[in-house]
Amino acid sequence: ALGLLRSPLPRLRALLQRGWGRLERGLLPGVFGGQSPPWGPALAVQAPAFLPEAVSDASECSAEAPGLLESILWMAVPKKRRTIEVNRCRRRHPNKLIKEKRNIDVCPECGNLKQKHVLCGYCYAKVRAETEQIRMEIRKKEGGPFNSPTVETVVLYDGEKPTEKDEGKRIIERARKRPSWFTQN
Amino acid sequence: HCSFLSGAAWARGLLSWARPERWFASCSLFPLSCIHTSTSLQKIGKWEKKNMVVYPPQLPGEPRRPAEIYHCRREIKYSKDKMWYLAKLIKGMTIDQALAQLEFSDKKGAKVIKEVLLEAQDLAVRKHNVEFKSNLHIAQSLTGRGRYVKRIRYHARGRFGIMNISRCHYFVKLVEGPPPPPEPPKSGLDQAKEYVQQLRNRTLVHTL
Repeated sequence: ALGLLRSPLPRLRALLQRGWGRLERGLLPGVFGGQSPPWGPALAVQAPAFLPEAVSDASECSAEAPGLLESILWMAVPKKRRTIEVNRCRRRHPNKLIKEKRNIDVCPECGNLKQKHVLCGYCYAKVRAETEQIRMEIRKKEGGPFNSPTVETVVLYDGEKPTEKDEGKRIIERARKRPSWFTQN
Repeated sequence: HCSFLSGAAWARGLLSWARPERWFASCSLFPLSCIHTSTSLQKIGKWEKKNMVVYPPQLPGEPRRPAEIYHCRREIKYSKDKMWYLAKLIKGMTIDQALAQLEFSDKKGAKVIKEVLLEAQDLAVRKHNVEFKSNLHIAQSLTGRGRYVKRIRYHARGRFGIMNISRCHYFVKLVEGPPPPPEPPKSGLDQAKEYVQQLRNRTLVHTL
């Protein structure tokens, strides 16, 4: 159908004026909805998806036109309206209902609910917030992009001194007490 | 039905229903005279009115009537059919179980229903004399159609369709106590017995 509609707009309009009458008599049913005037945009060109036997278009692609008409008749179309009983049977079938999840547990750390194979959302949010603070400290220390050193980083909290194992490492200070879940070394 | 309230108590009850302190803005001096002139929120829905039912006091021998809490949320921006699946999921569960299922559901309506359930649980504990907030189960959970708005959906080549912006309401009724045990599925033998009984109950109508 798209091949036929490559024609320029004035030819289309002329065809419309000829072909619309034929269409109105139900020769070819309209495919796209929204044909009712009250809601139509004023300037939209309402062209059908496929044009009837178009004389001007025969010069463009004559072989396509009869094939297109035949393929219209072969289109899959509902024969009858599906009754609400049939619709209900389909919509309420057990395979469409939401299944109950049996993999929900209680997080032993914070007591919120968590899925068995997923990290606890609350604890993860806690860790994320602290990591964001550490990253801000790193950003302040580095000052710009591409300044990260080639050594390891160690995070020290209030009142902690770097041990002999943290000899050549970069040290990030955080001004708070060490959280219980962030164990040292 | 006013036999259990004396005349003065009935007048007091009427005044407390009229709630004069809300109408001070419109007419300060005579509360009773402005019952019909006050500005009220458009329409109090039927579900909200179910919370205002007052039962007569129970007799000493009667079993305790379980507390019922009706709560709803109106004009949720979601489809009523899609919301129905969530409502069907939590029907008959305890409130804790329902909250757990909704927390890990990926649907948009799950977040809304979770908020509604938490609000209802809060209301139950504060206003409806429920002792334990976990001792509630969901007796009814329904969806309703909200107001639809029609909009144009633009297709290619100047064509258009009309789409509905759909909204829905969600209603829930919490009842105190453990949930009722689920009905055992009917066996074939039971169904056959019922059918035979129905056949036997038939009589001749309009005869002697």
